[in-house]
Parts: sequence; structure tokens; C-alpha cells
Amino acid sequence: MTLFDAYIRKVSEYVEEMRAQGRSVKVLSTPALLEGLPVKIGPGANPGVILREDTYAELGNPEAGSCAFALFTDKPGLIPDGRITLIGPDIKEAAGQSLPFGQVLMMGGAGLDDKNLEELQQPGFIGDQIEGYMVRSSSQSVWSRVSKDAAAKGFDFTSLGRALMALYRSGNGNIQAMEAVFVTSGRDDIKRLDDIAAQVRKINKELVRQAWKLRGYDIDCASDCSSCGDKAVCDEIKEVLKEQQARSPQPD
Amino acid sequence: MINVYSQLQMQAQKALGGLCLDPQNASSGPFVLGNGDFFIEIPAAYGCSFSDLTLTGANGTALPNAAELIDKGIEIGVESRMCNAIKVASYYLEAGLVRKPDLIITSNSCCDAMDTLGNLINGYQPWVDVPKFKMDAPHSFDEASYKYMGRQLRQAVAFMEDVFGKKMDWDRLREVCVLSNKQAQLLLEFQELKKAVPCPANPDFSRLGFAYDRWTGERVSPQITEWLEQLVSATEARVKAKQGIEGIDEKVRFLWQDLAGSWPPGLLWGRLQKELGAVCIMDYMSYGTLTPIELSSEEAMFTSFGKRFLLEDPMNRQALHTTDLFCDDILGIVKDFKCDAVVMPAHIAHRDTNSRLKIVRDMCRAKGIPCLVLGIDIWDKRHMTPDVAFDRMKTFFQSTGLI
Repeated sequence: MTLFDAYIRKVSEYVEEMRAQGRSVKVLSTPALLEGLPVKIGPGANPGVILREDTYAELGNPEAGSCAFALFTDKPGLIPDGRITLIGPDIKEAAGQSLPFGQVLMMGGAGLDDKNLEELQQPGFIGDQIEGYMVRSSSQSVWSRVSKDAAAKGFDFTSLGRALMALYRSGNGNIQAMEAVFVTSGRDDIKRLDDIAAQVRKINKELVRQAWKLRGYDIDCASDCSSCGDKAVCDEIKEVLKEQQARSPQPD
Repeated sequence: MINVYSQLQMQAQKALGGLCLDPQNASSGPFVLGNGDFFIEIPAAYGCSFSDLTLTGANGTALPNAAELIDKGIEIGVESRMCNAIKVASYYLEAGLVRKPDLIITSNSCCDAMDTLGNLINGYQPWVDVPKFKMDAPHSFDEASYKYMGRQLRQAVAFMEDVFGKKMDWDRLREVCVLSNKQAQLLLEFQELKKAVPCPANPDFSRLGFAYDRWTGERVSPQITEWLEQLVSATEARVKAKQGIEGIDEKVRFLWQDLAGSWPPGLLWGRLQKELGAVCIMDYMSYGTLTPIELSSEEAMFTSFGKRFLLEDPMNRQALHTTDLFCDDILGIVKDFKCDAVVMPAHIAHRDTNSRLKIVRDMCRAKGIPCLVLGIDIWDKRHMTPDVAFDRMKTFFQSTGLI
């Protein structure tokens, strides 16, 4: 079991909770990922900046509310491959609007493990790879713009979900199944999703800390051990802690 | 013909040029002094003058007699490797050149030097009768920390009210915050435009805009909003026309992962742009991660103040927190803003950053990002002269094949 399995279930529960509260919940159909996709995808597909005047809709402006995270599991069976769920209005209903935006990407693959954390958890991973879709710089969330041209071509959350799935799958061959949940229904719904995200961030932080530790760094003390004047003291404390641990009674 | 950027630059420089020993953010109300950034919306709404003595010292290092002022700081006993902005500030203080404040608000953020200056201000004998409030900034960034910091800022307001016998006008504070949110959005909009290749305008306008907005007498005012609107509109037009910085043939985009300091923007970055086409896309102070101030309740408002103070004030973000965040920011900026290289100025006084040099170098090597460690003093060009810094950077760009 990977660390995120419980949170994959929590996201499903969240979707059901939203449905029970009367939100518009649509499970969007996904034909083949790339066939008929209205926009180009791949490196440099959106080469420029989408200016304010060229923007059809903005998603996840911090003033409107934003939350994004990714979850992965080594059990692909937990993920209904290709499913895209939209809670709230779609892009075509949002001309000139700034929508709150939640994005959860869930991936399953027998070969996925903690080593994939860095590449799969970066919300800005997509960068400039979707035509007419610009992800703005913002940590822990996705703040993006959809261009008028893309909207005119029919770009919607189905397109976004399919594009994200195609890009993630082409970037990581271990992904066997992928699901996306988008939320645009309101700031409070984003806040509720962020409660789940906050827990996920804690796990991520610990995983990152462990990964750096394996490379010889303790990132919590904000210093590089090899150039730190306190290394000797720090090492001594660690030795004492180790001895204390060794002396303490072990559970049966 | 004077172009819009020259006009904008003159307007901001004029306001910033007025900052020296006089209170920054001057107003007719009482005078509050700190050792670092207070949350500027608070004094702006309260109607008091506020000065950050670190900034006063930093401004001193840009004066023609900077070397003399720095050496005076050493003469009064400031440790020689301490930040020169702090040396100058300490000299101003000990020489009796700083106007006596009506209230002192200090904090332990964001670096050892500023903390030291705070202690010096709090222990300064001639000001023993000045009421003092010391905030404790946690070295962490999570909801609990933002709430904790927000509560301290709230207590600081209550303390001001007690000392001055005047209540905060909460409606005015909300108005200031609405304006501040608008300005933050515009600063971020300009930042986004810097992603365009070639960069459409001098990227240093981010830093200038931030300083103009936060540090001058025109703090959080409609004039600043108008200035930012003009900056964004002019730059959008250049993006649309696919124009780069006027007169610059952009060849290299680099991240300067530290403060700009008093001499590098004028004596180093400008020359790098003109002679090598090497453009400094981002530095500490330019990198905006501002989130809006929440206005739904007083507690939410102060919690968001706490978040801005701890995580979104540029130097607090880079100096107060984990190496992981520091490294994440570097990678994020390099990717988002299409930087070709990372320059670690390794400012001699930034011990926090310098302890991370090896880890940053290792990370950049693993990611294939060229990285140069300079080892300059951003406030004192005697340590490494602008010519030497230029030559080192030129050699670096040549040897990595970027030019």
C-alpha cells in the first residue's frame, strides 16, 4: 500500500459529499486521449504569455480560491482510468470570469513509488505544454488562464483532463491508470478540498525530508551539514538520541 | 522622446531617493521604528510614519560616502563580517543621527544581522523611555505559524492603540488592504509577463515596483496602482509585439538568487545586459508569491497578514525557512521563467544562504543547470569590484557555452 491510498478514497468521498450537497457533478466522457483534442499539446505548445485581454477565463486566482495536488498508488485498480469529474461550471460557461479552481490528479501504476514524488507532485509541471492554457507561477496551487482562441476551439475540462493525462503518461511510463477531478463550484468547496491537500502536503514534506536525508542533508535545519559550524554538536546529539533509543524498552 | 519606462523609473526613483535618514512612509502621525518590515498596511491605515532601520542602512550603502559609513560601523564595534547595511544602520543609530521614535516594533526576522540590529535598537540607552514591542516570528510556514504571527501583529496594533491613545480605523484598514490586493495582482501580472522570451521590459521593474509600493511615502496609495497599471499595460503591448528590452539583444536569462544590493543592478546587471545580452530575470526581491489579504473577518485578515509576513515577504521567504523551500523556489523560477543559469552572489553576510551553497550547486548539477557562486558583498563594492564580478560572470557564461 502506498501512502496516498487513503487520500484517494478521501477524494472519492469528497466528490460524493459534493453531490449530496447538490453541486453539479459531471463525469465527463473521455474518448482516446489525443483523438479529436481541440488544442495541440507537447513542449512549447503554448509558447507565449496569455495576456489579460486574450483571456477567456481565469482559473484558481488566489482571490477566487485555488488548490491542486496529485496522488499516486502502486495499485492501478484503485484508479478508474480516464475518468474526469467536474464539480461546478465548465469553461464555456465562464466567459470573462475568474473561477475558483481545484485540481486533483490521481495516478496508478505498479511501478510508481515515493521516488516519483517530485515529478508527479509539481502543479506547474505542465508549464507551456497545452496550447491556449497558461499555468501561472504559484506554489501549492494551479493559477491558470484559458485563451479566447482555445475556448473558441472548444477547449473545456474534458480537453484539459485528457491533455494532462496524455502529458503525465508520456512523461512517466509507469502510469497505468489516471483520473482527474476538477472543482469550480465555489471558494468553500475549494477550502474543503484544501483540508485534504493539507494532509497530503504533510506527507510530501516528510517524503522530501527523507529523500534529502538519504543524500546526506537535513533540510529541516536550513543548513548544509558539510559547511555547518554546528555539525559536531549536531552529530553528538544524534549519537545520544541513538543510544537513548537503544536503551529504551522495545515493544513486544 | 522619453519612453514610458523612463517616466516610471524616474517617478519611483524620486520617491525612493527621498529615503535616507528621514522616516520612510512619512506622515504627520507618530513615528514608529523597526529593524525590518512591519506589515506596511497597518501603519498606512493607522496614519503613522514607519521606518525600517535596516532599509535606512541599506540606502546608506548607495550613497557616495558609503565606504566611510560602512567603516564607521566597524569602528563602533560591529563585527567585520556582519551585513554592511546593518553596519551603516548601527552607525546612524550610535551617532545619534536617527530621529527618536515614538514607538519601537522589532522582530527576530529575518536574519541574524537584522535580529542583532533589533537588539541594538531595543538596548539603545537614549531611547530607554520609548515603548517597545517585540514580535516573535516562527521559522516555519504552515497555518498554525500564520495564525501565531497574525496574533502578534494584532497585539502590535493593540499596543500602538494603547501607546498613542488612538484606535485603529478598521474600515480604513480594509480599504488599504483592498488596494494592496489590487497592487499585488498587478505586480504578479508584470512578473508573469517576464516569462516572455525575449523579456519585454527591464525585469528589475519588479523590484522597483515592490520597493515603491512598500517603502516610500506613497505606500499602498492609488498612485502606486496607477504606476503599476501603466507598467503592465506598456509591457503587455511589448509582449504582443514580441519586443524585448529596448536596445538589448537577449542571449542569456539568469536568476540572481539573493538581494540585488545597492551596486549590482546599476554597475553589473546593466553592463551584462548591454555588453553580453545577459538579462537578470529574477532576484530575491523581485520574486512575488503574494496571496490576497483575506477580508472575511478580523482573524482571517490578521492570519493572512501573518502568511504574507512569514512566507511572502521576499527576504523572510528566502532566509527564514527550509533549504527545501529555497531549492524549490530556484527550480521553479528557472523552469517558469526559462532561466539558463543560476548565479549565487553568496553575499558575504548572508550566512543562511551561504550554508546552502553546496546543496544548491549539487542540485543544479543534478538538473543540468549551470550555476556560478560569486562571493561578493552586495552593499560594498570594495570586497569584489564590479569589474571583477563582470569578468567572472562573462567567463562563466562563455565557459558554459551560453554566449
